[in-house]
Amino acid sequence: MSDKHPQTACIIGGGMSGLITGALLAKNGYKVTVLEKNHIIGGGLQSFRRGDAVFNTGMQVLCGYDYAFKHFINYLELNKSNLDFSPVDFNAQEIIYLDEEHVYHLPKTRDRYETYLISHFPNQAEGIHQLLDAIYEIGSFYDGFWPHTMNYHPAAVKYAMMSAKQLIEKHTSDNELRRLFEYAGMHVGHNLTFISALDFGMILNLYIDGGWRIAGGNITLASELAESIKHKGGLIYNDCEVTKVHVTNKKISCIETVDGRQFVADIYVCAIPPKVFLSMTDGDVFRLSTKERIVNDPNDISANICHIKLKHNQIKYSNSCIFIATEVKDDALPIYTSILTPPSHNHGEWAETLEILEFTRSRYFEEWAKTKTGNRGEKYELKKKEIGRQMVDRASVYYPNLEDATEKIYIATPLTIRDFYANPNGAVYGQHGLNIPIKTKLENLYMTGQAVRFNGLYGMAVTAQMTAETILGKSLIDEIANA
Amino acid sequence: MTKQEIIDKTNAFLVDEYEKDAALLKPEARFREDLDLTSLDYMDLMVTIKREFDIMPAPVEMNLVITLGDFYDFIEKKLNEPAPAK
Repeated sequence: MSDKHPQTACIIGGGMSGLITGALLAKNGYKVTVLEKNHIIGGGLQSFRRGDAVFNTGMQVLCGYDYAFKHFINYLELNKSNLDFSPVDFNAQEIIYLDEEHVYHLPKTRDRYETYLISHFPNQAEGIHQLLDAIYEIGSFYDGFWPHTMNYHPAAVKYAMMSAKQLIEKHTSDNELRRLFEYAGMHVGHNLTFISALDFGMILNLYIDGGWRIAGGNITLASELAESIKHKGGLIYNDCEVTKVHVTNKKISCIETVDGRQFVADIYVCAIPPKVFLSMTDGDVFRLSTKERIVNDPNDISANICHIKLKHNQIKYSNSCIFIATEVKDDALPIYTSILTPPSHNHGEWAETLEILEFTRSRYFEEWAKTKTGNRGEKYELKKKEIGRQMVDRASVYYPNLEDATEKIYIATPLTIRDFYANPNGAVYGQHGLNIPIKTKLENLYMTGQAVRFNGLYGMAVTAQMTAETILGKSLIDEIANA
Repeated sequence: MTKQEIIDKTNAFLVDEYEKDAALLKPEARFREDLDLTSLDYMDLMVTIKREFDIMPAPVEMNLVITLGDFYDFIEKKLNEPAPAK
């Protein structure tokens, strides 16, 4: 088989899914070229600098590291001395702040998590136990979360047919406990009415088992993946936006970039939102049903993100994710505001930066839809300031001195996310969960990324593996799992 | 809709939209192994089912569908289910 494989692969999109897919293909003998439209690679998972402060974008807490991602790092031979994955606080992975008198510190591992909840809600003990049984039953369907078993288990039907909210309400009757569980919606950007019990169970299982952070900054992972591709003869092009995909006889013949360069390869991998890819070609790429789902994808759930440079010795560094319950008018969005003090290699007692995130919708920024970064006008700047003020205000219930401790605020809105990630609706998780088939109608084009399967770093990695396996025509599971 | 109409309609879209070889479309053909349709194709199938039969099963119900024969039975059963109360 292997001598028949094409030898060159062109990856459109240098975000995490493109880089992981590229690194897997490079490891398996392909000469890989990655084309990234932005000045830096990494897509939604990266770092940026303002003055002397470094901020991370995208996911701040990763789940599934123990199950899967550390094996990917070993398999891809990434330089571990440059990657500093560190676990979130064992005793308080999540701090849930419902109000001043109701603050919960959720610990890691099922037994401790269950014991903790039961100690606070003793009359719900049986229901808590049953709910966690259900969550761990769902986890078992995925058998260690490896993609070869990720096809839904027949017993998963009942969980897929009910919402997370219904599952929680089936086992609990205490309104405060039910409200507490809504924090899980922060991991997917929806409230629990809009998440299936199956997705809720899978995600909560992963997070209860342990969240991790990249202490050296999110960009270090993208850099190491890029190094691994280059080390095997591959190339990474920044500032290289693909604008046209030429199709001849059901195959991509070449792709063209904004500056007129042309790239030709044996195979191509689409690691950008499929709706954007569709706008680059007249070719018949997807079957009708896929195309309908891509074009009509209504998801515009995005986020306002407040990056704060702190004054010295004002806010203590915390290795937990803090969720503050808020009243949200949009009934699809999670009810929490999240606060994090991002990790660094040498953080001491005090935090240097702080991040506040709230989910919102791109449609609330419709007025500025046609504007570009840096030129959105005074009214937009005022709106951003107001958003920042409100977010700091909400976060102040946990950090009462936050306003005084703030040196400078940098705010990202759904428009920032839309323009940087190139997500058509500004959706913070892109076109995720569409279950787009990896093979397309074009025989040399394959799909990867969150449109294929899950969002998040874990989702990217398993999807990249599925894409690489489809291209290579062989399973990589044993090699990765044993690495 | 008669069973034969379901079979004809299904086979037609599998050939036209899913580019399957008509010779493969036998009741005993398995979705995954013989027709190379994975769980990632099921979301598409739901859209096609809605368009062709005007019913909306959940993708996960396809877990119970192993062969093309199962699929014909599944559609027939769904078409005969009473409409949900409004």
